[in-house]
Amino acid sequence: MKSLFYFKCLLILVMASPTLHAQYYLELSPALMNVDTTEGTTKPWLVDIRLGYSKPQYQLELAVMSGVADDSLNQLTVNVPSVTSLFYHYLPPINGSLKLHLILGASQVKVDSTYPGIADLSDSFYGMSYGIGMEESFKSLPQLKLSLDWIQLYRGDQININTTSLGIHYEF
Amino acid sequence: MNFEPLYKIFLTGFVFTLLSCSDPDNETNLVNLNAMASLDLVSIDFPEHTETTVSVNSVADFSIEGIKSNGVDKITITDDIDWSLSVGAASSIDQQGRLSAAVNDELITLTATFGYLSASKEIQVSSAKFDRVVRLELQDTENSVINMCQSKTIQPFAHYEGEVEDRTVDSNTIKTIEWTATNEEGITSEAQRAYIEKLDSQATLHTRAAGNIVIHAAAYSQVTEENLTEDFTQAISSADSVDDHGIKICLSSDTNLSSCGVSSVNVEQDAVISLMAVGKYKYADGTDFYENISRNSQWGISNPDNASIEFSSDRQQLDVTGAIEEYRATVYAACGNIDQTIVDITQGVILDSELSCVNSSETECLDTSVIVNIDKLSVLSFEVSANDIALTDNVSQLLESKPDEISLIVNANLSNDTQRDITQDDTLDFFIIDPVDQPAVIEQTSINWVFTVIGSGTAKIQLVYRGEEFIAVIEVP
Repeated sequence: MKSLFYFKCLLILVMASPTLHAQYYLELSPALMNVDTTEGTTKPWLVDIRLGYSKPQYQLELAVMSGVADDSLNQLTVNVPSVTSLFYHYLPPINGSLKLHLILGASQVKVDSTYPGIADLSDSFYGMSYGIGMEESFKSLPQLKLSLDWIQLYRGDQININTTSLGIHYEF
Repeated sequence: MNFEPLYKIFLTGFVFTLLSCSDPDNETNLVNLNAMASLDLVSIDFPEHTETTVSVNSVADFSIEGIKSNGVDKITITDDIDWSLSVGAASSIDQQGRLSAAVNDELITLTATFGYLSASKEIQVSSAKFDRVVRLELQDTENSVINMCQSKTIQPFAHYEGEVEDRTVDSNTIKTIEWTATNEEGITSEAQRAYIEKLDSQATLHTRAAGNIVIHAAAYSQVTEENLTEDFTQAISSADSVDDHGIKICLSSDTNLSSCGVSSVNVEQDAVISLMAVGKYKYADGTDFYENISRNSQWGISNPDNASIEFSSDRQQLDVTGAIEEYRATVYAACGNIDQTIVDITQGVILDSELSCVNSSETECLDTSVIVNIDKLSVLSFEVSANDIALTDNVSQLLESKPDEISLIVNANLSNDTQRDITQDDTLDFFIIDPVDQPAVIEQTSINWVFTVIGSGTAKIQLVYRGEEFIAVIEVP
């Protein structure tokens, strides 16, 4: 519910903001998630889809990820069916086509786990997210960009969840 | 319309809202599963011989084994176990599995939980009186077999009044047991084959040679109200189980006991090199294993003036100290019966003589040795003076007046933190470095360290000692 609230806030901000130099974009990438606990680590794969609104100095985006490959730690199988995030990207002024992204936002990560003899478990982790990324435009097609980022989606007392994604970013 | 302030307000509130979003309780499920998965466990249980009766007012330590997913392999779990007792129990347990029994009889249920796995056992807290020690077990042994030069912890089992089954001696009584070990045949010319070391409540049997011994356990019986001594015969296996030539000497820093081994070592005067004796043993299935048997080995040394030997404080290594440069000594280690006379084995056996195995029988005794070469001390620096004026290496020193002779005094600072006057040492070489395109300033006299001044200018003398050199540069006015 809180994610929906933030999504509505994002839409209001997008609709109410000035449209000069503003662009909408779509980004698609595979993401390797690292679900790290004090006792062990699993690394499921996800597909990462982002819709965003871009200005020269910042971006606001909605990211939706869905698991495409489980990962196992001995008998434990971990799947991440969904991740919903809202991110604010600050783009520090840098000369050249390469852009650096400082990312701040919130995420909800749903983790399903199965273990022999134990009832299947499903847990949701909700928290502040932060990260760093970069993007580079293709010279022949400036609207198309290659983006790479690492985002700490959740940082708890005993669990850390982060993703690394490398994808294609297209501005309309 | 400028929306920048609105964005800033939104983002600030956004950040502060999210900073408090971590939910530790929600993390427990995944952490528990990962804990189980990281050890590949499917169940946990108490070890097979876990005690089910505990004396009142005593403490008892419990542990848990995890059964791996193949259903066969077991591991001892040491961390993250949640220990608890049944509701209403007067006894208590800490999170290391140490039960403190109540003052009165009670039946309690002890539960250990690890992740989503748990195991329970009923424990009777009993006020039955201690009667006597009835049997012993040596920990980590197969059928209580101990090989010569090994050390093993003794686990005593006792009969308690009114109880059918024997159980381990309670924590209060075990502290009062007095332990001794004697050769089975009594007092003879042969030295003790073993002795027992007691630290707090734990008794450890340290063996020297093969043969039978008798372990005496003396304790006060609460039933008969008198001190009772029980005798238990224990066999110490011979070198059949130690394997042929199964003793060797290694550096104490060696970590791979199967591959280590030295036949000669070097040590400087006053420096220490640490050695250990390693025994090669066989499990019942024929596979080899290696142990540090330094404390139960007998050590000796030839030429004890050249080097000295002593145990480290924990007797896990032998420290060899070099005494005289360029000499050598041989350090011996033996396991079993030796020709030399031994008086007391409880402090470890170190002799200022060579060692030899009795009868040269490999089943009764194994021995080995290592040559210790005492190296020359290395030179860290020189302190040199010319006519009582201190010199610096390769730095020109101006004399106030032209002397008839220059006399050098040379001191060497050595690696054992001592200083030695080496001026007259035969191995100190003096070489005059003649100036280029100038007449000679000094010439050698019949005394190595004295030079006649024959002119003015720069005199250079190279000093070489133990591979190190010093250049004395003197300006003669």
